[in-house]
Amino acid sequence: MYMIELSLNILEIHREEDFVISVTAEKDNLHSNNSGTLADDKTKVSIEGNFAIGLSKPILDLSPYEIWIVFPKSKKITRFFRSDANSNTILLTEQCDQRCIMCSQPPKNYDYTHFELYKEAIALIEGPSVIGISGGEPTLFKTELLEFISDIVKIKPDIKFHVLTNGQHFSDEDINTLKALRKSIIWAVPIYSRDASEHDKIVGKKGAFDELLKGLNVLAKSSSILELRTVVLRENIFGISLLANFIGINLPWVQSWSIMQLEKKGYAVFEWEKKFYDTSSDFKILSKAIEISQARGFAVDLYNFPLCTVPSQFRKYCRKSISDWKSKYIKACMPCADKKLCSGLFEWYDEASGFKNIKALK
Amino acid sequence: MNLFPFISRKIGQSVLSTNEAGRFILSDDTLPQIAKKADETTNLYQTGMAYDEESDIYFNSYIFDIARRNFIPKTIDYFMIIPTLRCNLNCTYCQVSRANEDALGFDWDDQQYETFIKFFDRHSGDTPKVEIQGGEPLLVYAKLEKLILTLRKLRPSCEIVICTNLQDISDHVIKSIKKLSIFISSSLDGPLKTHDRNRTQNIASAKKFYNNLNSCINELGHEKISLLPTIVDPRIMMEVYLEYKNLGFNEIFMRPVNYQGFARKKHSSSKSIGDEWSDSYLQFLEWLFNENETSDHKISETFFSLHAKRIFKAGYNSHVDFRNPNPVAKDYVVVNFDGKLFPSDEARMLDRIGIIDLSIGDLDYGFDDKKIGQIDDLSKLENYSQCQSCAYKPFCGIDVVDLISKHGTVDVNMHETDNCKMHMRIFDFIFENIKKNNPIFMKNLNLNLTGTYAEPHLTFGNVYD
Repeated sequence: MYMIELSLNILEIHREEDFVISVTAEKDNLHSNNSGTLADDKTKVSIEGNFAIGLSKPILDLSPYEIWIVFPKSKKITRFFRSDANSNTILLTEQCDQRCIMCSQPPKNYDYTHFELYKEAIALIEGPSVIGISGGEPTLFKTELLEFISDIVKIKPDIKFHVLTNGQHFSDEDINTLKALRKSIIWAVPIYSRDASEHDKIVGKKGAFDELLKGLNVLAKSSSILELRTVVLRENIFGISLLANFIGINLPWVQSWSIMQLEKKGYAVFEWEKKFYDTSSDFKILSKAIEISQARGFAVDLYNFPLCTVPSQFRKYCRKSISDWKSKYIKACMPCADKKLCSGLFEWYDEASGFKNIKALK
Repeated sequence: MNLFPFISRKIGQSVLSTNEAGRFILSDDTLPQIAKKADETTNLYQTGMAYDEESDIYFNSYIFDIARRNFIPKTIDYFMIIPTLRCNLNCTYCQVSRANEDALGFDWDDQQYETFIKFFDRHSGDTPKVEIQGGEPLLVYAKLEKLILTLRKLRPSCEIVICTNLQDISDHVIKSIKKLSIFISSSLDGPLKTHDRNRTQNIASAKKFYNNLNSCINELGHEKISLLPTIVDPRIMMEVYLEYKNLGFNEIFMRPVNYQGFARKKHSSSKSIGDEWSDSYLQFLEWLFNENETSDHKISETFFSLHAKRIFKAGYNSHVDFRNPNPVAKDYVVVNFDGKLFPSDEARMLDRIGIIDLSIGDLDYGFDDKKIGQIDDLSKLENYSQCQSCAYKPFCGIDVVDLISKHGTVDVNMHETDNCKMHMRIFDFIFENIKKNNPIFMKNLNLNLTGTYAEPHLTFGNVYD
């Protein structure tokens, strides 16, 4: 069991400018002018038979088709697109205007707004695909981001975007642009409580809930596709039924509601016991919220919930949500018959402080 | 803060206030009294009773839910067809008007099958349901088999239901039904004796039905079979329940007998079913809910669940007898044995017994838009003055054909109609029990909304804890 590394180090390179290449292990990679072939030793990439890049260590998990963005100056490569990955995501910025108590990726002062390189890279994708955009808070670069997506949609209409945002930076001026893009973007927006002060406390920002409702209203007015996301915490789980009622009545246009288990990373690690709610020992509170979604008629997905931690009648809502590059199974999972359908656990999952009841099914 | 327009109704000592989007609040105070309390403001926003300014999120969700409650699909997703009127049974209340098994001129000919296929292809949405009625459709099963294969070629996800009396079904036909993933719908009026009295009038035939039913259950599974009783005597509802439970079903539909077809002649008492039927039905519901509390085998009741879903699920308007508006030939059409099109099965019966011609076209010439327009205008509760002050209007439905059938006119005092009486009683029953917060009722409400027998955490306006 090992993690797929999405960032590679360069040992040797003869170019200076940043560039995009497609990479396969096949000798006749003819996808574009910038198409590379990984040599048999798995450390060298050649373009049209000539040496182009030397990697610091062999890459053993190359997808059938990958698109890389190469940064010679910093000697880094980003594996932008892997054809057999269950998600391909652009991390646009590490800046954020919230300080969520369970943030898995605490904010830093770095941006990765290489929109021109992303455009070149997406142009190399064949067929329909979904590109995730996350942060930080990507809409801190809202204007550039919407422009970028508009450009892509013009040249590649079968590329869709899944943007993770706190939803607080939209205004009525964005409605026309959002309307034009509404079929190409799913907006995934977190909401933690129907109680403004509880929500604000969790995201570490005063007034966030009121701003969020304004932003969600802009998304509604532009008929945008909305996915709501709620990470389950000790802080909010006792109000999750009220939140479900709130969604059913006040956000009836929601396409789906993702209920997510906590990832032990970043800020979540601090005072973990005060944040993590073990739904494998007690699922009842969540089952009530799911029943409300059934009664009100909106869709629910369970993210990061291993199948064995969920009562059988609710397993149909579990999604294989953990990206392949950061998922794992533990010893207790080995005999399980349903591993292929299961989200598994995060690579950094810690058995001692995690779910009490992980067991093989069947 | 502004309140959305609302209508109130007394529920015991409490007040129920509803608005057009179907949001409601159930409280000891009236809505304006609640609105005066500063600490209730957030609650009123969040329960969908109030907004701050036009175009804020509370206002937009209100508008959205009104639109959902009024939404009707633009393509036909439900075809009911009657390829034969011939039947091998002679039920006392036959609603469909039947012809004898050996009668001539009551079947679609090959040309009509072809014309229907073209009609279907032109009007059907992507996921249509075709309900094959009769007569007894199994009398022409060989032709149906061919038809179904063609329909599935045109719309691969087309769902097929055959409504049969299960009097005569061979192993070969059951196997074919299984292979084609066809649903079976049949009638069972209760224990053998009752079923026999109503339908077969011959114990040997009734036994034959039971054998066939069991073969279908074994071969196809409960999930492929829906069974409907037609309750003539409300007192036997409990017997019917036990019979369905013994057969392993999880759902029962206590629909009242319809006032159409030959039922009109033979069951004249069905004219004033409103109150009499509601008394028995609600008594039965309370009894059923207590049974569910003690039994491991929980059974939901479709008529109740329909009312509950109309309250809680904006956009639940797929039941064509109970929705508003209820437009004609937008998403649902009946094609008769002679190719005539009708807005509903009931309309077909009224035509057959010569009360009123409600046909809206035929297979050869298509829809009669002028007639459709006339019926559509009558198919909105907005057009009936008594409904305008009713707190249950956002949840209720309209059935024009039923009105005409029972009263010969649509110019009626709605409150005096059987349908209105029944629906009012059931809605009152639901809100009274919600107000009492009766745990057994609540668990049964949840069962009928979600399939889970446990107390729900739905909020009811005043119950934010």
